[in-house]
Amino acid sequence: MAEEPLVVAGDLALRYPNGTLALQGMDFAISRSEVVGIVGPSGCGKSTLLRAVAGLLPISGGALTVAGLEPELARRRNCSESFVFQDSTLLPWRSVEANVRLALELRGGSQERWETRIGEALEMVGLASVARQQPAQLSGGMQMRVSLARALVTQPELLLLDEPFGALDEMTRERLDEELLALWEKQRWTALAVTHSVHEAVFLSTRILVLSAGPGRVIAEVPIDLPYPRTAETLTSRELFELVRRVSTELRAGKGADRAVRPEASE
Amino acid sequence: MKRMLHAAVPPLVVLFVVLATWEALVRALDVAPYLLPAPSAIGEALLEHSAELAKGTALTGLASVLGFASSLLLGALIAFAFSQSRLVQRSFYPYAIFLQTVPILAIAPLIVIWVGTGLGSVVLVAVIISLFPIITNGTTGLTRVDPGLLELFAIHNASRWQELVALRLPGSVPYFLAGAKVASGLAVIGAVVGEFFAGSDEYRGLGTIIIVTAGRLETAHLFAAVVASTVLGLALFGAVSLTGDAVLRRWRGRETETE
Repeated sequence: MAEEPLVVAGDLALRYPNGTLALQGMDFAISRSEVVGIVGPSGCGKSTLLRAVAGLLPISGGALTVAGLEPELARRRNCSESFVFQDSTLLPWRSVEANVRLALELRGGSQERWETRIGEALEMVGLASVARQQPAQLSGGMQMRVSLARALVTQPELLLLDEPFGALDEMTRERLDEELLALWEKQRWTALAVTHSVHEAVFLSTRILVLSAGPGRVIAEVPIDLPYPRTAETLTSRELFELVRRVSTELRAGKGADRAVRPEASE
Repeated sequence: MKRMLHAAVPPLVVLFVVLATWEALVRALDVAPYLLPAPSAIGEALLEHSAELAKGTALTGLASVLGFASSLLLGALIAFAFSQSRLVQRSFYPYAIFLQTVPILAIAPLIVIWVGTGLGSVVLVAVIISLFPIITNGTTGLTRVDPGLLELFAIHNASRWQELVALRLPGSVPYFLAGAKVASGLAVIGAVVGEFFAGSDEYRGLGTIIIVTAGRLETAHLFAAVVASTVLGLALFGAVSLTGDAVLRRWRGRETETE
């Protein structure tokens, strides 16, 4: 089968119920197994875009498809998706393993191999030893790992990450980023990752979309050709800094351009 | 245990000082016992009427527990109905507030007229006064859910039923427990007030004893009944609080502290 892009946006627009235009004239295509980083000034609709792709928010113009279907339909029919939020969004009354099991429970289906899969997911994020503990007993970084295990246990085709480690300290964030990349190298899911750190975006992504200030629009695409495996050394490499500089320049240009010609609400 | 003893010492010292001053003043100023009996006289009354007070405490305790349990059940059902439909909530919430604002002393006689004297009326008054905090806390707990968690459930295509059973119901537990704590104290107050009006020769709860002894100016005896009802209230509140805290500790994970 020819590689159809998994997520396609064409002249996408999204208006909030209060009338504010969040996204406008957005075009992009994301192929399978890409990790696409989304950066942009705050309030440019990065998280909104992610929620639209997840089918959690209705679009108001243009087209957006996931696996060839409208996002909500795709989520329900033929594309298994997971979302990692900025907070770990764990249920405090469930143990670590029960929190991971939640994703499987909600999807229903055969319970075959559930326990093995939960075990493997926790193993993957290095939390097998605390499977029976409650979230409140874990550190913030460990809670995010549980959240990641919960997202991966369903073996999603599309992983949506909304500033996933934004609430953590830098050291922990960098380590989790590395682990996330290592997992991607093994499993090759497709991912859309919103982050406000250009550095983090460059490190994680195969390609970066730079958005303009609200209403958000793709103003630049930067392919990230850093070699794998990317490690702590990559983080301080000269190539990475060069790319960070390029993305940052695009970001700044976008802000300036936006101030000069503010696109008015037209569809 | 040692910590508990440590915490108990300062209030006990205060109690002792207050009682000693009270005793000394009543003696020194020669206050008439029907106006203000000395603590020692109240102690004597407690001993003298211990059998009657024990029976009264048991009756009032029974009425309070029955009222509290009914409130818990009824309040949970109403909160559930409120959480399931905005229309139901908007239609009935103003009448739930009525429970909170109605002067219970004014409608207790009505209840006795309708239901008659005895346990039934007393329990009903206890329910009316203790129901509101369960309804409000329960409704809040069932409707106020972290939007992030709702999105998490949506992304995994959760059904409305799954959202209710796996998210809203367990998430409301701390709210119900907080409501139950308040309701437990109120249930005892409701039972005592109910007994002011619904007491009879067959039904002599603590409220009945208070109203009868007040009429006869047997003030020491009255004080003894007040002491008994206070102890009863503390006991029920304590039992509910301890149970609630234990549930909450399990709910949150063993090593976290209760607030």
